[in-house]
Parts: sequence; structure tokens; C-alpha cells
Amino acid sequence: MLYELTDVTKRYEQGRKVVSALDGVTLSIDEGEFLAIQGSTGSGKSTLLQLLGAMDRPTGGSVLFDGRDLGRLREGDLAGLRARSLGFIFQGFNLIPTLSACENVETALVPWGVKGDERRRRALAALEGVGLGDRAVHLPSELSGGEQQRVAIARALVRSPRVILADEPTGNLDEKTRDEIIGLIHERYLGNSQGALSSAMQKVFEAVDRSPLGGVAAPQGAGVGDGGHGV
Amino acid sequence: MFFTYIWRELRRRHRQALLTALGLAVGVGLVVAVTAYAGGVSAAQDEVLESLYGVGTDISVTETAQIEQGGRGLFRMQPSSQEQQGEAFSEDRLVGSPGKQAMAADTVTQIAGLDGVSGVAGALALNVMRVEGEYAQAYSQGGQRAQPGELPEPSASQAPLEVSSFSLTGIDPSAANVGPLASSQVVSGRALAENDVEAKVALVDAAYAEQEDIGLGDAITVNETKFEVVGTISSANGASSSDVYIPLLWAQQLSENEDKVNQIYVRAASADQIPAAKSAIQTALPDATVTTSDDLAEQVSGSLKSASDLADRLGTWLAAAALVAAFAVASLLSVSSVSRRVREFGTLKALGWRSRRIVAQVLGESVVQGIIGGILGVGLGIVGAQLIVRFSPALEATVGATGLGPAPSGGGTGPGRALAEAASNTVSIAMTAPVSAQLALLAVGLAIAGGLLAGAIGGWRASRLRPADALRRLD
Repeated sequence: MLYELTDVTKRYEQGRKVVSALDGVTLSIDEGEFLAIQGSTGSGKSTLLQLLGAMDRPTGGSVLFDGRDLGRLREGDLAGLRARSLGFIFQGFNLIPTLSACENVETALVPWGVKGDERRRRALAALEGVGLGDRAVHLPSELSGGEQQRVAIARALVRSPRVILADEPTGNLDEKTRDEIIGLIHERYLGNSQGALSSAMQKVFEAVDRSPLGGVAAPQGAGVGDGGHGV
Repeated sequence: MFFTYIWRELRRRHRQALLTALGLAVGVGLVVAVTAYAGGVSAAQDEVLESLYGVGTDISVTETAQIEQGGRGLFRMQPSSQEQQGEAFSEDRLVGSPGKQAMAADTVTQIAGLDGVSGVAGALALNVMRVEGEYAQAYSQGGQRAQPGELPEPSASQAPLEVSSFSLTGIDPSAANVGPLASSQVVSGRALAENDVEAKVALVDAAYAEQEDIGLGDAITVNETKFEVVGTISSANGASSSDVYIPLLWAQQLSENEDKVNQIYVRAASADQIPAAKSAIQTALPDATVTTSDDLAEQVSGSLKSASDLADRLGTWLAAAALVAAFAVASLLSVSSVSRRVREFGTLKALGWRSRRIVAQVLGESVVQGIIGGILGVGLGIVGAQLIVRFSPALEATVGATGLGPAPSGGGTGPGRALAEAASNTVSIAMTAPVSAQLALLAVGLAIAGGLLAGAIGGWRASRLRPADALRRLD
């Protein structure tokens, strides 16, 4: 089992108030599974993704990744885990505004210690893969929203991570671009070379129109995941 | 990536980066200008002290004379025989410098053996009182010339007498590098050499030589002993501590002070050993007055003193305050920059960047600003120092009448006399404010330190960000 979450709670203190974002979540995700998390605003989707992404620690319960309890790892080990195994796609793209498209993709290879030319070569290849080979030197401000998200996808994919965590990846995009991005994730990461979505995935992604959507895909060795667990 | 990221980031917020660099530049520039100014003041003080004290002399040892000592000089103007009546005469009387007690010459040897002392020279500072004129034409009460055997009585017909005085110092020719002449320069002729210990030779202060029309090869007579003038000398500010210098041995003999000195010049083994050497001398010679150049510096007054005080107190505090303010502004701007980039750093952390890499990135940006600020600051400091030199009036140094030992009221030799002379001839010094390469490097180093401090504070703040918190702020 890749992920094992047992009775996970997460609370935030806001002044004197305590807000419970997650309460008793128990969940397992296997290698190769595709998981979509659906829920209303404030239901804890992003919080759960952050716990799965080793970016935060649970208040209670345990989050095991490959048998390791993420709540007990040191910050440096968590950073190493994120660099080795996880890829993130954010709703707001989160590109570094001062760096070009290519340099933004390179930032994902910096923690690996990939040097100069090799880093650039791999970043350019990732950009080619999302159809932005000719926009490599452009700054984020010179790209459209869809192009920026493509750069973010290239950044997430350039390390071929075991898990992709996408937090409302199409939330800021128009319908046409959204379909392009979904197709791109499907094609480039979930392994369908035809560029067509399975019916289950199509159903899940269509939900984007109705409510925010978070997704976890862990396809390594298992091909396309075909289902989702609603939370 | 590291340098590209720094360059792009600084270019993006170039106004803030320039403001930070300028803040550091102003702080560092003030440090440079004040340090250069203080260096100029210090150099001016050294110039004054060297001329008063002698290069290479760190400590001066004298012994205060007892009140009843010294006595008045008596001159006999009566002819010893009738034949001398009406004839010209010249009589010298050598007295020790007022207020100075003669000490045994072996005191010099005693001091030489003390810890921290590397050179010692004894000197005998004297004042030569000279009366010249003609012996009285003595007559008896009845208006007749006095008969042989009778002492002539002073009468109204006594010819006018000429009374003069000059200062004379007996110096040890074998210890020329420490002593009253250590800071003097030979204007003409030569200095005293080691083999002049018993020679009848003299050095004359150039100003005194001009005043008295004394040239090289001329003879100076002291108590009927003639000394050949072999050189004229001048100190840095034109005020030698004595008019005439002769070998110590002769000064002792002529003043009947065999094996005596009244001024001892001491050079310490190193500058930081001066206090220890002073203490050792005071212990060995409890009755002596031991004065260091620092003590002498305290006697300096006038605008030089004011400038020194200004540099020491106000200038130092001003520079320190400006530097602290510049560091604080740089730190605040760094923290502000980090606060605005929470999303950026959160993203990088989510990508697996370790905190130390993010801290290094923030530090790198701050250090670059520090380097730019340092270079600008050195430029500002040099301009400031030049403005000080250009617009500051010539400094004057006056040495207080309460100089070394009792205040000499006229004549006397050694530092005491120099002090007295300086009091009447205030030394004027052109102000300089040198900016050395070391100072420039120090300034750049300070600015980089400021940048590092600002970067460390900003970086520390960035490193404490947890990626989830950073990303959550976007929600």
C-alpha cells in the first residue's frame, strides 16, 4: 500500500477558535490508483492533499507513505520525500514570476542536484512534452493561464514522480483550456497515449464544472487508475 | 540557478534593492568619512606630539626639583685686579632647567634593565645665563681711583651690562635614535656621532642659529669652553626643545653635574608595553615624574583637541548609529521582501527545496545588495572625507601651560620647554582625511555584514515557513 491514512484529524487554531478541517479520515491508496477528491469549499480537500503531499503534519492519527509515518519525519526528510516522490500542480500555477518557463521547470530538478546543461535539457524536453517548447524563455507574465498551467504540469512531470497531487488544477481556467489540461495530464502522466479519458475519469473531471476537485494519481506500474474515492 | 535567481529577483524589485543598498551605503559612507576624519586628526596629533616629544620616545622621566634647590646665580662684576677695571668680560652660569632635579646618571642604566624598555637616553637640560660687559671703573669714596688692594665699590659709572640666556642640552651622542633629537632633522652639517662623546662639538637649532647669526664651523663658547658648530637642526614644527646641544659629558662638566642627568628619554619595546614600562619605572623610581605620550596628548588643546573629541565621541556614535539604522532598514526590507514571497518560497518547499537552500538564496540576494552598498558607501565616504578636508579650517594645537612637570616660565629645555613654546607658538596643522585600502575593505566588509545580517533575519523567517502554511495563505 502506498498511502495508509488512519483516523487522521487536522485542526487549525484561529485565535481562540479551533477549526476542524479533517476529522477521522481513514483511507488507503495503492500504487497505480487514481483518486479524485470532491467536496464543497472548506470541506478539507486541500488539507488532505497537503497531508498526502508531506507539506503538513496531522493533528491526530497517522499518514503512512510507503510505510513511513509522515507525521514523525523531520522537515529535511519530508523535503527529500517531496523532491523524490511527489509532484504538485496547484490551482494558482505557483510559478516563480522572475524565472522563465524553462527555469521554472528547472526548479523541480534543483533539489536533485542536476547541474546546468543537463537540467536545462530535461526541462526543455518536459516543456516540449506539454507543447511549450517555443515558449521556454518567456516569463510567466508573458504566458496565458493555460500556458502557465502547462508549465506547472511540466514542472510536476519533469521528475517522473510516483505521485501527482493536483489541487484544483483547472479551477482557474476556461472550459476549452480545462479540457486541454485534463487531456494533457491524462496523456502525459496517466499513460493513455490515445489522449482519450476513460469513462470513469471523464465523469470525475466533469465534476470540476460543478465543484472544486482535488486529485491524486499514483499510476506507477499499474497503468491508468479508473476510480475515485469521494470524501 | 542560484545566481540567475538572485539576479532576476533583484532586477524585479530593483527599487527596493537600490534603497537597501543606498541605506547601507549611507551608513558605511559615514563610517568611512568619520574613520578617515579620525585618522586625519590622529595623524595631526601624532605630528604635534612627535615634534614635542621625539619620534621613538615613548616615556619621559624627570624628577621634580625641591623648592629650595637651584638658587640664584651670582655674577661677579668686580674686577679681580685693578688692571681688569674697564675691560670687557663675559661670564656664564649654567643652571638646571627650572623644576628639574638632577638624577644620578646610573638611573639610565637602571631604567634600561626594566621590562618593556628597549632604549634609554639621558640628557642634561640646562639654561645658560650670560652676562657680558665691562668691569666697573671703581673709584674711592673721595672720587679717586681705588688704590690697589681695595675692592672697588659699585658706582653709577658702571657700564651697561648685557644679559642673555639660551638653552643648552647635553645629549648622549651614542643614543641618537631616542631622545630630544630623535624627531629632529639636520638642516645643515651633520648630527652628533657616537665618537663625539668627548668632542667639543655642538648642534644648534636652525632658528636660533639664524637669529644669532651662527654658521657651521663657528664656535660657541660656554664657560670659556669653545664648541665647534657641526650642524644645525630643526624639528618637524620648527620648535626644537633646546637652542644648543653638546655632548652630555661636557654639559655635566661645565655645569658641575658630573654623572648627573635631569631628563631621561625611554623607548618601549612596543606600543602596548608602554603602560607596563611606565609602571615599572614608577615602581623603580618612586620620586620621578613619568610621562607617556598619552599623558602629553591630554595636554593638547585648541581646535585639534576639539576635532579629536568630535571624532572620538560624536563621530563614532554618529557612524555607529547610522550603521545600526542602515542594518535595521536593510533587515526590515529583507523581512518585507520575504513576506511578499511567501507563495514563492512555499512553492519551492513543496518542490522539495530544503530550508537551507532558501535561506542561502535570501542571503545571496542580501549579500549582493551589501556589496553594492559597500562600494557605493566607499565612494560616498571618500567624497565625504574630501569635503571635510576641503571645508574644515586649519586645525590648531596648543599645549597647555600645565605641561610636563612644573610649568616652565621661561627657558628650560626638553618637553617642558617645548610645551611652553608651543603655548606661545600654537602649531597649525593642515587637516587630512586619508581613506586607506584597508578602510575601504573594512567598509565593504561592514556592508556585506549588514547584508548578511539582513539576509539571515529574512532567511530565518523564510526557513520557518511550512509549505502548507505558505500555500494556505493563498486561499
